[in-house]
Amino acid sequence: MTDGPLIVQSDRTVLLEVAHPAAADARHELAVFAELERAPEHIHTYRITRLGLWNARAAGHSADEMLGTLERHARFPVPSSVALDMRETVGRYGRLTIDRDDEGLRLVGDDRAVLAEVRRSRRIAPLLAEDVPGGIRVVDWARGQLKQELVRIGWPAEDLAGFTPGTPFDIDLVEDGWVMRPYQLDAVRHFVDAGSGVVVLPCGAGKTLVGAAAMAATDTTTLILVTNTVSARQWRSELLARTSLTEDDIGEYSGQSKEIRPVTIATYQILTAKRGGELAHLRVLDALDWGLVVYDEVHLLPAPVFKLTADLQARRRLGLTATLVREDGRESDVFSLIGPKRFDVPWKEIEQQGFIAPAACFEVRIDLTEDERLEYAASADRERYRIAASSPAKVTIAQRILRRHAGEQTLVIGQYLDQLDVLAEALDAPLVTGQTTVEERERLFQGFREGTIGTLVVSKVANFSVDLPDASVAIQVSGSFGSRQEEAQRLGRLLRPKSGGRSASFYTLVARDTIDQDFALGRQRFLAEQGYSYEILDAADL
Amino acid sequence: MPSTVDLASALQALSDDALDRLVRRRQVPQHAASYFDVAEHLLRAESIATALETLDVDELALVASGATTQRLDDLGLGVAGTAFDEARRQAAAAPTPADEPAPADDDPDAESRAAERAFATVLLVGEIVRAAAVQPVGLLARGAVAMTDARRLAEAFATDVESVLHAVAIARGAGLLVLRDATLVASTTADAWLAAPLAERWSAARDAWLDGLDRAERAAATASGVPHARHPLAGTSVRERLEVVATRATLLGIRDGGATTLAAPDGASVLARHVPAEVDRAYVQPDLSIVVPGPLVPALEQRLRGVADLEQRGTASTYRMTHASLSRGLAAGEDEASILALLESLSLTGVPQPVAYLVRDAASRFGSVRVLELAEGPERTAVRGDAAVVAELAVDHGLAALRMRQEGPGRLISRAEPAAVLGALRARRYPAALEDADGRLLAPVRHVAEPLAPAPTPLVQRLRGSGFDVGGEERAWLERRLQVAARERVSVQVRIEMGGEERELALLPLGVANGRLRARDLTSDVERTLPVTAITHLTGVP
Repeated sequence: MTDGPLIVQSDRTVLLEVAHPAAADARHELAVFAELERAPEHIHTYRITRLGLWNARAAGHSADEMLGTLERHARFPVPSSVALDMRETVGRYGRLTIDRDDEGLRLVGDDRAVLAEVRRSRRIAPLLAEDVPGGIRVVDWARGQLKQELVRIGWPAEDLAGFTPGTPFDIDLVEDGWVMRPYQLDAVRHFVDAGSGVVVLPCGAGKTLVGAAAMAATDTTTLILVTNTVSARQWRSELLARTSLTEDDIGEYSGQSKEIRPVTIATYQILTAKRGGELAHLRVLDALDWGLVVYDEVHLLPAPVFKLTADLQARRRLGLTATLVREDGRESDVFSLIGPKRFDVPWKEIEQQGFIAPAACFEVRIDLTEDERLEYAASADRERYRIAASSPAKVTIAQRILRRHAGEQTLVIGQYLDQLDVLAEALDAPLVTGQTTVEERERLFQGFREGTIGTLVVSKVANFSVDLPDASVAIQVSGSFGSRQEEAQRLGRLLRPKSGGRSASFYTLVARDTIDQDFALGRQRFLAEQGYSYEILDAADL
Repeated sequence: MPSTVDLASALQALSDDALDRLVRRRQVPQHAASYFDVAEHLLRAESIATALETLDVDELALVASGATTQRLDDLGLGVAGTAFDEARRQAAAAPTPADEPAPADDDPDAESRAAERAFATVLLVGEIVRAAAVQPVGLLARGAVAMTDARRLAEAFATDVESVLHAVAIARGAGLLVLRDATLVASTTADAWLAAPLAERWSAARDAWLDGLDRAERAAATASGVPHARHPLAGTSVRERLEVVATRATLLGIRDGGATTLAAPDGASVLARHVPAEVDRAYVQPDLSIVVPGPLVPALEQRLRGVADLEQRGTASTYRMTHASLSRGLAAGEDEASILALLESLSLTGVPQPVAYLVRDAASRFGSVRVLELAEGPERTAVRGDAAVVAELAVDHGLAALRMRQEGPGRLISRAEPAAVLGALRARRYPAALEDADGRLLAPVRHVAEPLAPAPTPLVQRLRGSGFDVGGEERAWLERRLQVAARERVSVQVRIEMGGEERELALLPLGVANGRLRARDLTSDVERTLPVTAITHLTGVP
């Protein structure tokens, strides 16, 4: 037994003691093959998963290297069952490969028993044709689906069938008064070497720039898939500002506009829009000979887009996300269809490098009045959250917090429109909701960016892909039932670098002893697990 | 050569215990009426064949030579050192077993692998024993663990049902779980066992479990190769039984294809070399988790478990504090100061603000709603508390099923049982606690019982004329045993009291319904129906 910082458990979790002198080295090596699950203050929990091991194998790491990491840093002996399982799992990756010969795609492997097992799978049989020397012919259209099914039966194939080059199109980065950060360059290099895969970076770490640099490295026509129109416009303005692309080079394919240009930005929504039961806008996928497809916020990729992506396996694919965790558990589809994780870096490291701001979280407990409590008690369950979350007492507390942070750019975020109306009026701040027109929304965001607007009240629309660089305070008055994803997005709004190294503040207002507090508990756990400092205050403390 | 008469005489001369063991091992039918009936059964060729299944090659050779040992006489295979003819004939026909496999080469990892399993098993057994003290483990009529309970435990301890069943069997064999009213509860010795250091806990469980095995099982627990290799006459069920024993021995770390170093008398010190040393400090984190980086000193573990829930069990353990876990601790006598003092003494890094806040909040609210069992009248439960809270309870939509009605200010009454009321209030987040008539808080009930020797079989009771008074028995339990007697067609002797008169009856139970036993009177050959409550003494019931 050594005195290392890791404890390897037989359930395949690995605990990392943060304060240990060797913790940084251990974390660096462990992150190669284990997924960080929780990162509270003192002990971080990693999990060794099949996908994590295969991601590492895809990046060229062997089972011996990974076990070596554990053995070098573990305080107690690595459980034999874990070691055995790691070797077995890692050994499965790459036993099969998909490559291409003159006739088309082949599934190739040295182990005939594995090929026979694959052949026997009922779901895989229709994707395969006749035996060929060294393997089995793959049906032309089945490259993506085959990879998905192989992962499901535990034989992930290495895809060496290459990519179509796409139509050449010159794109350069214009580093005019700014430079790519070192970790962004690393991310791009890892992606370009592999040709497909996912880059995981925290909110505020500059994922759009990684996308732009990948485009510049590939020099080809590019399709960018994003979550919504606002995000599409921000990609557009970022590409115009940071690359050699001009207005004429970039098209928007969304509900509002149907332009196809060498660089086309399309929304997930338009891709999944149906007319007469059929997907009506599939033509965008084949409109040009795309050499690169970029998936923004890949953890939100809707299920139908996965299906479409299965048909795009010949094109280079870059996934960008802050988290590989999907609320629908379809992480393995991201692995099969977009590609393995090619790069990630924990936000704490980026924070330490000064590229994102530290954040402090506060939960403020508010007491309902006696009348509110009676109304709450007498209400049906479905009404209770609304009553607790939209207590008028929250307005007063929001005012106090604004006074406490006078002069700081502040977002007030909520779920219920009537509550947001009241807040906007009481705080004398503009309101952005789903009903606000895109132009008005952009005008208000721009004013907020420029500092002419100090406080903005926003509904859920502001959660995703909205770049609000100077928000340093957020006050969450109500949220949609404690989704982890939503929480990360909200906090992400705050994590942009602040001038003078100021830390960001995230307040959540919670009605005491109500279901609001139950949801807050989940949120507290999530944020504390992510390593944010977290404090619980009584309203009277403010 | 001994005769049936010799055997019947020998049976009469046996002690009650020895006779009981023999009747069980040789599966003598419970309806046997006399020692001669028993002797005739024991001398049947098929009964002898069954008995010989558990004999190893050495014992079979002895019996084949016409001789026996005391053990073989006790098994009814001979009298006074001479084997019965039939036993000799069958033993002589036993096939010669194949040569035993040579012991495996020294496997350098065998010891650590065995220690790993021993460690995991002793932890799981501990969890199950603790859980049984909180909620007894149900048994089916045949003595198997009820599947609903096995699944409940498997889910609680993140393991599979099979592991739970093995751990329950080990705990039962080691005397840590005992039978009470068709359930398994913690034995009175379990607390002392749980308080011992891990290696001692393991060796105590190992020794007690081995002591409870018969000769064939003990041999299988440490045998090399196939567990029944030295039992050439073993049939399918004996082979299966020995394999199960071998599996449990493997789980306990004393077998790994053959006896391990842990099987030796100093096995505990071998184990101690491989398992982490006990620790007395932990990381208390802002996400309300407490991570103990090694086995916690038992006394501290006991206290920590009182106020926090175990979330992950392993080399390191993770606990989590919640309102519910703290309420449990507060009900058991902890208070705010004692809990905070415990956390401060445990924590390597102080007590984070959210944890301290939770403890203070839970302590300040705990018991502000009191639930009291009412002794008389149709209302079973009273609820009292602050007038404002009680007003809330009275209108709470989610408590409507309790049909509580106000009985003066600050007091509600309900016809629901106190446990149901308590559960419903806690589910709605009210800080409810049980109290007695004097207003003292009641600690949760622990289910613990003395280990008792099993009652003699009904046959032995009848042969020896013994039985038991039913005064201490629960009526439901008594009815169930009479139902089993009816199903298995076992006759019983009852003493009944009716109209101030006592009578003895020999009955063959036919059924039990609505608190009444229907049975054939074996003396007068008439069918009788009598109230179960009239039975004061019972002999021969299964």
